[in-house]
Amino acid sequence: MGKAFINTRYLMAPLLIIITALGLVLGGIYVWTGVALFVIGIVIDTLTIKLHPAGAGMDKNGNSNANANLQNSVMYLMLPIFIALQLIFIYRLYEYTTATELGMMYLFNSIPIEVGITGVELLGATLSTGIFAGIGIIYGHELAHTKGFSFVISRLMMGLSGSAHFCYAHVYNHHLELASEDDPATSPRGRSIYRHFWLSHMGQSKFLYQMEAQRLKRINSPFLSFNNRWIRGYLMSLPTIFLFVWAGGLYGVACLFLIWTVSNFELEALNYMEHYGLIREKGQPIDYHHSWDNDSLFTSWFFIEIGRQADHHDRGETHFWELDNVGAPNPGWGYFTEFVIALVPPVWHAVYKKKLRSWDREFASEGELLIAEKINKKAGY
Amino acid sequence: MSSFKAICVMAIWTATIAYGLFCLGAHEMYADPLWAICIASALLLTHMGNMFLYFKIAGEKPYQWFKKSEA
Repeated sequence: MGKAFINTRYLMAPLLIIITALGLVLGGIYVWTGVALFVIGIVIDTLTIKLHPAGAGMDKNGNSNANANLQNSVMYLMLPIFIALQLIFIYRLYEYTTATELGMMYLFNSIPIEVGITGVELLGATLSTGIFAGIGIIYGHELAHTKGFSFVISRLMMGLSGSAHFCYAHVYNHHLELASEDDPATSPRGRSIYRHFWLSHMGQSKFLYQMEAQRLKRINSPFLSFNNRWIRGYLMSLPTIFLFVWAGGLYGVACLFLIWTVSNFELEALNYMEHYGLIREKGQPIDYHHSWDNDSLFTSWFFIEIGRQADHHDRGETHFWELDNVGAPNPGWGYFTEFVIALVPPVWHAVYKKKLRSWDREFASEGELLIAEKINKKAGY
Repeated sequence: MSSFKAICVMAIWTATIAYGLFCLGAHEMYADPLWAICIASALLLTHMGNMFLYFKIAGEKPYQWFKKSEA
């Protein structure tokens, strides 16, 4: 497989985010582009369920097939792209609240753009923005594993969705406490995706809150200060809140609430699917079997190999294009397909009851089995 | 139950701030950039306040995989 193709395939999500933004620019029915692309994603992911390609891999000389400069540049570029997506949405919101008369204009005398927006179209634009702001979180996650300037970019990116706390919680909590009660991002058996969304989001924010309380106490700095990274994280969201309020008033607040809910729901859905029901004894090392790998074709390319969770948790600071299959448990389905299943908890539990029974049999240590027995009883598994 | 209690208190806190903003006429003045920044700051503080309330009221209980009696 040519290097050009390997590098291009990881541009799928950025390209679709740009297409979604263009849909908002064109207006009318095109504001639903993001929603339509998401549905198409579910269909393609399900149709290609049996294809499990390898990661980017190496060439004959032992160099990565991925172009590090290109892939890194794309990650940094995602910040201005997300800002642009929000600004375009905000313009549409402004049109709605100022009751701009519906009409048509032509860009460069040829591209038709609908002026003004109806209530239904505003809903479509909100959902499209929320869905692709949420998908963009994968880049925030990737950069959260870096240090210095890149880490700040990651925080700013997550701040656009009101979740800048994620960057610290993910690296210093999730990666250290994975598959145990101390990791709010790991869902125990029996929990629904909806409950997990709430608990994981709140739990990760709580982690940073407590971490900062302890750190600031240690350095004799007041909690209410600019040194507080929990506070600074939320302040990163202030420009976004300001723009939504300024452009839309109450409607703006409602749209922001919906966009943040959708994007954070997607983020927590990923956490849910990556570690659902897996167990690790406290004090025992993190192993490959504490993550569900997900390496189906569309998921791997769209989510920039984020599904290779076991390798990612083993080598957290390794670039996504270097991750590979390490023989971790694998549900065999892509994230889009699994997401739809997770939305219906009885179906999810019926499916995972069987998968976790296999995990208990094939992967669990004696200590993990003891915990599994107790939690299975509680969850009715 | 601890989560439910916390969510109830969060709802009261949010409704109080929303009522306060309404009384000040924020819903009519939002297009003024100065008002918008004040409203945005109030909303952000409400959000952070909600987080704080949840942490304090719900505590560790929602995150425990087993009740103390089951552990």
